[in-house]
This record gives sequence, C-alpha cells and structure tokens, in this order.
Amino acid sequence: MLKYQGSTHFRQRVICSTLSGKAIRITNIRDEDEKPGLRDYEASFLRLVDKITNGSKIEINTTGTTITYIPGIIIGGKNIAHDCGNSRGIGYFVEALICLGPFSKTPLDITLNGITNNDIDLTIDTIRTTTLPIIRKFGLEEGLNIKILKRGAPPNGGGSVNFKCPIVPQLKAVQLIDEGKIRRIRGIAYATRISPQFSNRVLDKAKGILLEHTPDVYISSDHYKGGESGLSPGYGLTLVAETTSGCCLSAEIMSGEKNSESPEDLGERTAYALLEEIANGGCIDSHNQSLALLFMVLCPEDISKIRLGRITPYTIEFIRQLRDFFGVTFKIQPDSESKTVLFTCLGIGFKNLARTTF
Amino acid sequence: AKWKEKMKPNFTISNNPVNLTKLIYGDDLSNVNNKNSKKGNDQDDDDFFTVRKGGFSSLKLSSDKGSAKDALDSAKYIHSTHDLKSEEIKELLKKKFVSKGELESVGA
Repeated sequence: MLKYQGSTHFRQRVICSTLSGKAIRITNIRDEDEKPGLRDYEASFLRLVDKITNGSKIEINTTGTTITYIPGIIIGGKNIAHDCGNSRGIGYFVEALICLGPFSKTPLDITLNGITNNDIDLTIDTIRTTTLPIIRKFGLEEGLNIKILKRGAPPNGGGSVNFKCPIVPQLKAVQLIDEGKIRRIRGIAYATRISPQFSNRVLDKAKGILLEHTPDVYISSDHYKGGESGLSPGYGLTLVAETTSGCCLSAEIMSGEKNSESPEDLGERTAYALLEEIANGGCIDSHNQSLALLFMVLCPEDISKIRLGRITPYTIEFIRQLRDFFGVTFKIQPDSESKTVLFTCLGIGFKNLARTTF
Repeated sequence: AKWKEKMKPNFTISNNPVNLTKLIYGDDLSNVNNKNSKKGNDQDDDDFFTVRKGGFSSLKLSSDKGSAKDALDSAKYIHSTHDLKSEEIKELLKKKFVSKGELESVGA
C-alpha cells in the first residue's frame, strides 16, 4: 500500500491507484485546517469513482482526515448520472473519467450536472477542443464525445454535460515531436443569462490582438438563454491554436464569481494567455501535459516520445506519481534551442483486462 | 551578510545543460510535492490545477529549503510567466506562426 500525506494531488493519486491496482492510504488531510478533512468535491469525486468501479473499497475516518482506497475494476456503464456539486467544475470530474474510461468493462456514457465553465478547472469547451483530440492520437477514435446539454456558470451551476468514452484493448504508442507552426486560431466566446453583447465584446478584443499574429482567426459567439442557460449568469472565452502538424494549444478564462473585470479585459487576458502557451511551445499545452504522460506510460511496450513546452508543477508531481504507481521513469531531455522538453518512455503494456470480449 | 547567506540556494544545478531528470526525480526537490510534509495542507485547492489556468503567476512551490523555486526558475523549462510585450518574445512569437506565404501553401 502506498502512503501519502496531505490533501494535494488527491485526484492524481486516486486515478493512478485505480489504474495500477495499488491501494493507497492518505493521512493528514487538512488536519490543521479550520475545516479539517475532505472537501465536498473530493467526496463527490470518490462517489463518482465508486459509481464507475466495482469492488473498490473506500474507508474514510470520522473527521475525513484519513482515507484508505483499495481499487476495484472499472466497469463503466450507460445511463449513469452524477451531481458534481457547485464547488468545482464538471471538468474536474471529466478529466478523471478520461483517464479511467478507456479501460472500463463497458463503454462509459455518463451525464454530469454542475458547473460547466469556471475559472479553476478545465472547461468543457477546452476538453472538447483540445483534450479529446490528444487522446484520439492514442487510439481512442470512435465513440469519444462530450456534449454540453446546458451551460452552467458559478455560483449556482445548473449545467449538464454528457460524456461518452469508448473502451480499448490497448492504447497506441505515439511520437509527437514536431510541434509545427500555428496556422489558425479558433475560439468560442460564451455568455449565459446575460446580454450577448458581453461575449461579443470579449470576442472583439481577443480577435484584435490575435489578428496581429495571424489572419486566420475565427471566434464564434455562443449565447445561451432559457432552459439551456443554467442558473447563474456568466461569460468567458476559450481559444485554440492549431498547428501545421495537427497539435492544439489552448487557453481560456472565465468570468469569476467575484470578478469585476470588463469583457474587454477578459478578452485581452485570454489572448495573451494563448500567446503565452504558443511561446512555451511543445506539442501539448500545459493543461494536458499530465494526461499525455499518463497515456504514454499506459502504452504498449514500445517507445513513446512527446515534446512538451515548459512543464508545470502539476506535471512534475504527476511524473513522480507515475514512478510510484507504475515504476516508469521518463527520459527527460531539454532542448535548449526551442526551450522545450522531450519526454521519452517505454510503455508498461497496460491492457484492459476488465472488458468483456477478448 | 547573514540574510544573503540564508537566501542562497542549498543546492545547485550541477550539469549544464540543466539536468531536468535530476530536478524532477532527485531528492533535492522532494519537498516540492509535499509528499512527506504537512505543508500539503497549504494547498487547499486539491492540487496544482489552479496553476494550470489563467497564467502562472500563482506558482506555489513550497520547500523547507526555500530555494526550490529559484532552482526551478533557473531551469527555464518550468512554467513561469513571459513578458509578452518584450521584444524577445515578440520575435519568438513571429517564428511560431505560419507566415502569409506559408499559409497559402498549407491551404488555409
């Protein structure tokens, strides 16, 4: 059993534990905090893991400061519904489902309710436009889909998302070395329960900045009203830069709960965030680095190679978790010319033993 | 001065170019992940997901040695915010985009 302390990287540990089959024990979870123990979103996440697995055992002490998790088999299934609450976005839960879903017994078809766009977690737009294309490169092509049924902004949410994930017997090793050049930029400016003027103002400002770099910029305005607009007003912008080699880099900023910045400021900030991602380089943007590395590890016993831009602290910790759970150490080569980093590893040959047909 | 001594990193990056493998897997930065430290509770946001969005100015790398962040920054391969208005970055961005002539050739 692997033992950890503290509340950080909770989700990483549960995901790696479920995939590797190694039990974990996490102690001292916010034990010195005014409100000790697991947060409601963490408890909700454990409930979700419990829903899509069979035979997993979760033990939490009375104060919630210690948890023991013995993983079971991922079963997936249809017509599953989960209420994600309003503390974190649906993206927080979907990211975990993307990691676990391909290795379940039956294809996963789940509806998640809560906040679709917030400023903490990846939004569903980014997951749809950037994360899913990345995992398609690993062999998950048909049946992978995420659909926004209703938008939900913080604080009250009210959004709904349907996520479908196929199963695979094994992933495919990848070589993503050529980052290419940015050929076009696409985006979605959304607004719910407020005037469509907000998304248009965000869009105009961002487009103005991006047009200085490339003429091929198209940002669509997505305005929701009535039953599809959730329970709270909100607006935001998601941008995706596509390269000549088929890589996608994304950036997004959503209006915060207590955020008083103007739509123009938000548009400007998002455009600069995208330029920052582009300046960082690499074939995978900073949001999806960890996911790509996880799938590299789970690949067949073949060499996978990926070029990443500047690595985030989250990724650094994830690399360490991968070593703990799967025993895989990456070969990490900095490329001083492009200021990118090449990650190479030999996959562990992870097979989906849960699936019903062989 | 004494305070200067205190501010000095407790370890140095020995290899040039930067040995990222050592930085990431080595014991020097074991405190960054808070694995064996109660400082894990300082990060109330479950993990570094907040750092992944909306710029990286909120980079938090707690270390008992107090020097981890400096070392990481010096590595230049770890996330930090660019000055996008600097000439250097403007030049870099120019190279990252397809030029108009190339755009026609890729069929955009």
